[in-house]
Amino acid sequence: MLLTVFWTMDEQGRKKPQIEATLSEAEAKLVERLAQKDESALREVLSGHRDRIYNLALRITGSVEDAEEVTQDTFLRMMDKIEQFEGRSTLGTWVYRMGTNLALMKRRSSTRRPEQSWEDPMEAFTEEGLHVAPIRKWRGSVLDIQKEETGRAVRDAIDKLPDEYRTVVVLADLEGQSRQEIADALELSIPAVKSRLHRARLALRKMLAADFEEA
Amino acid sequence: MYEYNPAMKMMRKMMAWMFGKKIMGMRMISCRDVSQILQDYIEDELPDSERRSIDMHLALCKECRVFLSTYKETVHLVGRIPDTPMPKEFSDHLVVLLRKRWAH
Repeated sequence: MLLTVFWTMDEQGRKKPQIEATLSEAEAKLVERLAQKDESALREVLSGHRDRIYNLALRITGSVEDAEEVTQDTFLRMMDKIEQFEGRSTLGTWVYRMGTNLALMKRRSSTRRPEQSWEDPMEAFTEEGLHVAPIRKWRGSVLDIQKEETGRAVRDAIDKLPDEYRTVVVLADLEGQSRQEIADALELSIPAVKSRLHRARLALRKMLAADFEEA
Repeated sequence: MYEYNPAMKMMRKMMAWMFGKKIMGMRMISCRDVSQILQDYIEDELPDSERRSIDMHLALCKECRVFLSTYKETVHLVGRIPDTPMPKEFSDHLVVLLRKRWAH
């Protein structure tokens, strides 16, 4: 992706930067080959993006079956729509956005996970606003996600979150999407995304603290 | 429920007394306030005055220092969950399916 910056004036006469993105030559060729149904181009796209789409879908839907279906549908849709790809983003970003939308749709329509009742495990404070109980440090040994105990505890905690929190925390903290991208995908305002993300992180912190605190 | 020792109890009384008061030109905020704006604090999106209020609170409050560090550790751990490998069977099936679809 090549970015060109040029300056325009707004109504008050202030200079405003505008960024125009164009595809790199290699990517433009790849898109052209895809449009011509070149199989090696398809293999190239799959090897570059399928794991990412699969993991995104798995994290959002929480089901291997649904993740496989979403991955398959994403690439089918890419093949159907490749001629409509305008190159406003990289091909990877375009495919990834389709994957996000399909995974969210799958999650919403899925009846496999009945919604359980959920109460925010929020921190308790005294009337004056002090923590009710001491907050303890976490054991140094748990701070490595590669450790089985840590990985399992973090995954379990995310799984316990209700959909509206889980989706936002997956897109923001696992997938690294911007607040704006999440707001667009979920049709929420940016303050609503931030608020859900914060509550999700507080809930995760509280759940992990129960396992990770020093004795 | 944990117990606080007498020195901690005294410190907590002092902290509670300070909440809402101006100290060295800054408003002393409560632990509850800190927990509500931590996200903007770690992402450096707070106005200067609020950031300084949190800094002052953190300098005096061990609970909130630990709370902040475990909040950051939560975000850090979540962001590093390793990818799950795609099942080989599905991966092979995907290539075959897409090729077939393209052939038509």
